[in-house]
Amino acid sequence: MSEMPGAPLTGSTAEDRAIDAALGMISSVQPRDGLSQRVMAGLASAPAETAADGMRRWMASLTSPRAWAGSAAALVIVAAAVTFSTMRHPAVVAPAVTLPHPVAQPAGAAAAVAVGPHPLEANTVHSTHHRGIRRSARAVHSRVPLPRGTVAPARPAVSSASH
Amino acid sequence: MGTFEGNLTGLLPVTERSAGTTAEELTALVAEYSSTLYRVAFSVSRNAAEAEDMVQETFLRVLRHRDRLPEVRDARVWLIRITWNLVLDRKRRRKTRPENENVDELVRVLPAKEMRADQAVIAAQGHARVLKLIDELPAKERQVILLSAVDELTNAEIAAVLKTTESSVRSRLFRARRELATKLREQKERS
Repeated sequence: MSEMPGAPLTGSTAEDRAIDAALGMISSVQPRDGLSQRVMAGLASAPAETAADGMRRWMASLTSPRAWAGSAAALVIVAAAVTFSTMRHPAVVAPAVTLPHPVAQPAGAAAAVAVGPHPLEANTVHSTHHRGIRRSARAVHSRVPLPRGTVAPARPAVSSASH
Repeated sequence: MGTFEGNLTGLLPVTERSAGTTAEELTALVAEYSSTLYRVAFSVSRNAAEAEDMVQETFLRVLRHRDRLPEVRDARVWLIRITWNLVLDRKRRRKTRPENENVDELVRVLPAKEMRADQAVIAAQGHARVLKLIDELPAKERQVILLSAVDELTNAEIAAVLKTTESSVRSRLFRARRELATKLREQKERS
């Protein structure tokens, strides 16, 4: 029994003696006679483990309730993750729209169209906020989950020039 | 299925292996370490039959993992570590307390030298009380003090079994004994 330097531990008090006696009991325990012979007999009768035995043990571990519980838990986690990922789409960016270049009309066709001398006046009386359109756009963007790969209609831009 | 000779071939480290390496050498190994391993197992299980099972299981593990033997430097420490892990694992799986309250078992294993039956019972009760307090210690301190009870083990060997340093073993042992002494004193004052 080793001790801390300068700190005698054993045999100094009644408590230390009780501890030493209990530990000494463990130290003095003797096995029944013939332990070595029994161990050797056990080794002699023990089959050497083969690959088939290893496979059998592995299969047995698969059929254990703990393995099944672990598999079920993993399955639930995977299912939850898949469901969650389908509910929340990443932001789908609408593809860039390239407008065709204006085609020069034939001179005859242009001449046939009657064009007024002044551009049309902007309607400043009525509101042009298009609330209905904005509401429907918001509904589309925020509430309805779209199928994967579907592009939501672009939110209508409200130009300040219309005011 | 392997034969006995087949099982034993290659059991010892390569350096010790020779053409004559057979059952006799393993018999020597078993004969040399069985009692030590038994005490190591008994220090945790406090049950003679279970301790014997652990010794048997230790040598079966040795047979199964004989490929690792060439790496083994200290066979004694290696065997003790196998037994120690086995007995701790079994205790953990069963989640039962050691049978330290079973005084009869302790009386049975006590060396019966010049001790009357009633004296043996009183001694066993005292030991059971101390062992119960040991079981209430933190795991690291409990393990060190139990291994220290196997008196063949030095601090360096305990450190090797527990994969820690020798100074750590010394300090844990010191703390464990101090705590045990305090608890015993408190018990005495209460009673």
